[in-house]
Amino acid sequence: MKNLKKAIALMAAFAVAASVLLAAPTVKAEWEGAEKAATLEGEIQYMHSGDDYEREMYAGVFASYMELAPNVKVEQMYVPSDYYTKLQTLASANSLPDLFWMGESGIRQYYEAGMLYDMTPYLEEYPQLTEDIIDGVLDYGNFDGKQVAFPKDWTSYVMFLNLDLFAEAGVEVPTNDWTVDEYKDIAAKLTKMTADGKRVDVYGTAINNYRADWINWMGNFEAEWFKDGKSNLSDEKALQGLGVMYDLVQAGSAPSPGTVSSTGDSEDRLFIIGKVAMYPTGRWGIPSFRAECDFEWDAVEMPKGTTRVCPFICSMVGIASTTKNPDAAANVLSYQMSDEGLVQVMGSALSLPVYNDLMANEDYCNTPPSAEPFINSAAYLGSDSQLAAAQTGKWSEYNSIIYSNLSDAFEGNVTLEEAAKNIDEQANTTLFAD
Amino acid sequence: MNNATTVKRGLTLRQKEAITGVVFIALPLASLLVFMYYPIIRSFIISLYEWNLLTKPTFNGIGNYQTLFKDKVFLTSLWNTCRWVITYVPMSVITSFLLALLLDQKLKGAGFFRTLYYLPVVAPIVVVALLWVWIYNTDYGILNFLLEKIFHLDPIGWLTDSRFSLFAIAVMSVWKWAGYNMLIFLAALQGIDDSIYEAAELDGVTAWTKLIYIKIPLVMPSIYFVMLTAVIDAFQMFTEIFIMTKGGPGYSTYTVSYYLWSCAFEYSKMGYACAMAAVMFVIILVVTLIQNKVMDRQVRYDV
Amino acid sequence: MVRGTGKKIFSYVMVIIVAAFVILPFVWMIASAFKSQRELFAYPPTFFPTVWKWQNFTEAASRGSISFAHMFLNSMKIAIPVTVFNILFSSMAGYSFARLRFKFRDAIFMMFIASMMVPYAITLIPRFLLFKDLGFYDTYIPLILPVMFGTAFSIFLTRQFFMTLPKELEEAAIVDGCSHFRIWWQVFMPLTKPIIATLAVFQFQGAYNDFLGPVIYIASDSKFTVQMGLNSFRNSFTSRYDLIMAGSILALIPVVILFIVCQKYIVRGIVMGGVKG
Repeated sequence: MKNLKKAIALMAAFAVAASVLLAAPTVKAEWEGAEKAATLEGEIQYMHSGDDYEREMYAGVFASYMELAPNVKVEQMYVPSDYYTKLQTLASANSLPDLFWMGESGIRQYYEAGMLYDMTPYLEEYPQLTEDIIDGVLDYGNFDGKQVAFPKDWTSYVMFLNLDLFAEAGVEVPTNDWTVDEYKDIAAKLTKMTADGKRVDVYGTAINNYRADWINWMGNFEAEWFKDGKSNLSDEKALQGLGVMYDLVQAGSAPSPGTVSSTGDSEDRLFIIGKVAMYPTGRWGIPSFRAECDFEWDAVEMPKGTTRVCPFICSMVGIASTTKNPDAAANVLSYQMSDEGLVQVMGSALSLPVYNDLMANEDYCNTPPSAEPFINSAAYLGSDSQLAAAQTGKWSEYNSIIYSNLSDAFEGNVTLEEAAKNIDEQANTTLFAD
Repeated sequence: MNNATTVKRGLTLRQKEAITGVVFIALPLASLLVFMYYPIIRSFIISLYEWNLLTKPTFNGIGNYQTLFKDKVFLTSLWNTCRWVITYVPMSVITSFLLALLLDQKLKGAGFFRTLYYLPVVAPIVVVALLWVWIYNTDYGILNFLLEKIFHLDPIGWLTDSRFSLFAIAVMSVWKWAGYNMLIFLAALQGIDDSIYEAAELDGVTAWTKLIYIKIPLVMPSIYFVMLTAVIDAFQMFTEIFIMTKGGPGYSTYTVSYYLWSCAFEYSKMGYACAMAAVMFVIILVVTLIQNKVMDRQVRYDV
Repeated sequence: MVRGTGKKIFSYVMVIIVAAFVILPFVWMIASAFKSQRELFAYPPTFFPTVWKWQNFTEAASRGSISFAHMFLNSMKIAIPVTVFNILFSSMAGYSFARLRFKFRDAIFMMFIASMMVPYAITLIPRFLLFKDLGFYDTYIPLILPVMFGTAFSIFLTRQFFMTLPKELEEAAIVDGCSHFRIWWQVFMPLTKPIIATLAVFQFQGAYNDFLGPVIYIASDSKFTVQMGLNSFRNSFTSRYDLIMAGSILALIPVVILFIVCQKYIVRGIVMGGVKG
């Protein structure tokens, strides 16, 4: 559900990106694959999800690639919804496209079925692919020492702030080094009742019953929530992390995720219309915020627990093992990941480049909001628990076990401890039994 | 042997008729076999395998079934289906029957109201579900607003509180389908011979007695029909859940169909999903057989 | 007499109250469809919009990767063949089951009837595999083919109707050497209008309103149906409820029109099919 949001972009964002494109940003490094591109030929199918806007962006990338590789034809296959069902169907019919996207947690099943091309040699052929890459992001596509999927981008998880509501309530705007306790405190202060005192008019914050939130909060308390191949949400630190979300709902500083998701699928609506003052979400929220928020807003890093962990949310690119033209496929990937390719995509502010040097560049990580929270979070991206859980190949089912049980807790039907216990029991007997 | 005569005169009328008969049903029958009976059989076969569509299926015997009856989510889904039948069926039958009684009188404009009551039936379920999600919204929904204004009730989490979620969907379904069942009852009521009423009126029976001793017994076959349909539909319930609750909160609105869909198309456990389908098939078979038994007895009793 | 009048008044009051319950959600849908986002989330809610935002409709119709008109056309590509062929094949089979004698006729008819008890979910996966293996994934064929050659309910309905028609109808024609095909087409079909109208509404509604089918078989956005498009409003517009409501009204219009045109036949259709089932 939420990963669809990542694909969300609005019309106005198009204008933003268009202006970025027109401004002809400086491309830092020459693309290393240009020479080879001119010699290649063949047809490459590239399948991706997203929305119309993302489709146009990638159409642009492929068009400029084809200028450099006149004998290669990139055929774009765009799937707007139920992408993973379609991908799986094509896989089962043994007709995967040459290049395609997979969720960062949904790679193993394709790897095990022998459907992914080992791209390790291409990492050597195109050193720019991995040069200055953010630590750890390659691991999600690495199985048994083989690189079978490549992280095309990432999307930091940060807290967006409605500055007008802060000013109205006379509350000081937090800085990047704020803590969980301060967060709870501010959330309570910003929560405002209606005139008759019966209902909440403005919520201090909102939470999402979504993997990015879980991974973030549990991680911020150093929880090993997936340990030795088993679900470990009953762990004290994990409970402490999830407890942040739980407490906010209990305290009335955040609406229950169920109440909000029944207004549609997303809490960001409430942030946009000014009903939620602080809203944690990924970079994908920015295009709609830029287009629709009629108030001052900015972002800060997620509040600190005992430490900080940023969830790694990404669509990774794979090459099908059935491809007739791996060289061309890798060349397309290399172009997409080059400064030249990335600048056409990152202007939209839907996601971030996986390269440290580009993070500090306005053309790749543009404002508003401030770039620091995004740049900073690259330093603590991903966690062992996330990586281990993602690589089980059973994430989608595990994800829905967590989602269902936590929703029960957030809606006040069971306690958080009970929910965590149910999750571990259910997951460890069905999914992660020896 | 009268072969000689038939050959001479071509086919007999009777033979022609039989050939035409078979030709007329050939395509529908083929379609029935290919799209209904063959899938049922194949479903049973797949249920004996473990299969994620990507790798070769591995034979698992009755393993899927064993797991199934230990699977909390499946058992909850089954239980929810029972809860649904217990909540929805009486509500739906009573409401539709009352509507039918209401319109069975000789009222002016009955035709207009009949059409009006049927309107939700033609509305796409996606539209209806999205609309009711909006009506039921805890914070911004019109329902909670009205309840607060009129009865001073605190906001109720219609779709987020596990005590109400299934009930809330049932109320929506009554709204959506009452018009259809009403027509079935109306047809049955209007099919009752006037002479029965006339005889009753001669005996001076009250309207109440007429309802209990004439109308309800004579409409009974329709009531069974509506109930059976409702039970089968309970196993089909998918779109409402997919759009309104995604099975939540917790597992409180997981239905067998929804879980089956998740297993097949989200977790790629084809064998497991087929085992679920097989269990569903057996349950429906049993329910139908019981229903037929009861109905037979009822009919005999009437006679 | 007084008692009779009192009862009448009570009945009218009840009929009108029920009508209000039926209508109110629709009225709320229409009211919401014209509101701005802020007004939609206002508390206390306004019943009627303070400013009527007609743009919601134009925006709902044109936004997204394909336009509403395009999705509507796609839905028609499924609904029209399904409705037309289903009625033709079903009534042919219905005629055969009602009028023609051949071996195993009643047993075969029972096979059709029994299939009405089988929930869709049971045949879902094997059918999906079948169509996938035939290469029909992401086409409309899986949504049309299983229904177009007649379905149990339609066959049942037409058979019931044909059985009420007098035998004399075709006897003279048979003596004149008319084929059964001509009898069916020229004698029976013209008499079947009420059933055709009922089936037209049922089949069209079934195909047009179907959600699960397209969700499973359709992938490309250019092939989206109205129902899929409507649901995807929730994601790709970051849940614009104003647009969802406006889109819902657009989606509702075709079925309501068809229903109003055919409504007077529907009661008769259900009498035939429902009660005797």
